[in-house]
Amino acid sequence: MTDSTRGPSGLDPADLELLERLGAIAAVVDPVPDHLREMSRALFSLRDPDVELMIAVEVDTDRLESVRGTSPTSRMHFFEFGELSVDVELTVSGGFCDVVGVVADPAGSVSGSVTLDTTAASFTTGLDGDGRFELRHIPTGMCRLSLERGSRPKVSTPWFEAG
Amino acid sequence: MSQPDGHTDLATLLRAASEGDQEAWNAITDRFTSLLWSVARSYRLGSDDAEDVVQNTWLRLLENLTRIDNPEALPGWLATTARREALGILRRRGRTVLTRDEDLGVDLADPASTELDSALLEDERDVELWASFAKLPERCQQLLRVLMACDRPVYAEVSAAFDMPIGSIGPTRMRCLARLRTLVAESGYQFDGPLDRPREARS
Repeated sequence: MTDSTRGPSGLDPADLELLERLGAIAAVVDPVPDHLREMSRALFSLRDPDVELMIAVEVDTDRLESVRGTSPTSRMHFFEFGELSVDVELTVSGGFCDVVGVVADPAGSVSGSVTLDTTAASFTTGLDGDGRFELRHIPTGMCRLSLERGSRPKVSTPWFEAG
Repeated sequence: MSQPDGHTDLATLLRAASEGDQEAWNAITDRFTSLLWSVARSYRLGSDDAEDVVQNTWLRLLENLTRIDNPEALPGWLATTARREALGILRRRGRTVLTRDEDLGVDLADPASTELDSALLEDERDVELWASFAKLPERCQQLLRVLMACDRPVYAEVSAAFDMPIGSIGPTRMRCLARLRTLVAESGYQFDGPLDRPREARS
């Protein structure tokens, strides 16, 4: 088989034929659910072009020990954007989770509100004087937290698993 | 299916989607949802988990829409992201990830699953081909499952998605395809070129 018969994919015509046949069979025996195509399209409503994206921070064991959650079913997540940080503890129980977090900004006092988005709903709460917030009874699944602080740019965590 | 100018297309679609064009987003998801589904299913995830993989991958793209510098790399990025999501789900479920990359021996097909699949197919040659595919080693099934969902797979993209160095993917793919042809031949059927589109068996 020469390169000229393989085409841009690097596959020769017989390979392509076999793969196409298999692909057609897979489409019959294991089709993509129709509602998944619709759901994929609908996710576009969650686009938020004006937001600055925080980064998720991996933490070393020592830091994790010092902030270990209060229950065996809780998990910690840490996010940063410049000097700004958000530490979150999620505690799961029966398909729902409680979210307790703290926002810290060495550049100044923190005030404003936090919104937690799931793919189906949004939950908003205010920050207290110490930058703390709590959200109870959130459905488990993918979520993200967005922080609004008056005239300052809105920041958001990446999507992460709550649960 | 992508055309030779598919990459230009992709750049246009990505730019439009990042500017808020829902139709462009629809075109992207319509084109690649089956690839993401195939990656998830190649890890033998159930429907619910596979749907989560697809959803999570689209969420990752959504938050990175304005940060994709190289549209040509999008299929590989999507496959890689879907693979990472699938592995994450397997880890959370405590399931072992198979790593028999070089094992090209015959795998044991799940008879119940193969029988169920076969009941959907009308053409006996399709039944044989699919049964033979199910006997391939896990690694081959993963690779071919993803390749068959690509419009025009390129080494770099599949390599990125499956952690294979460029150069090893080609020979592995060829060995997998050769193994499949042998299995089909052993079954007494000769796969000899184009067939009609597979039809669902009438009940």
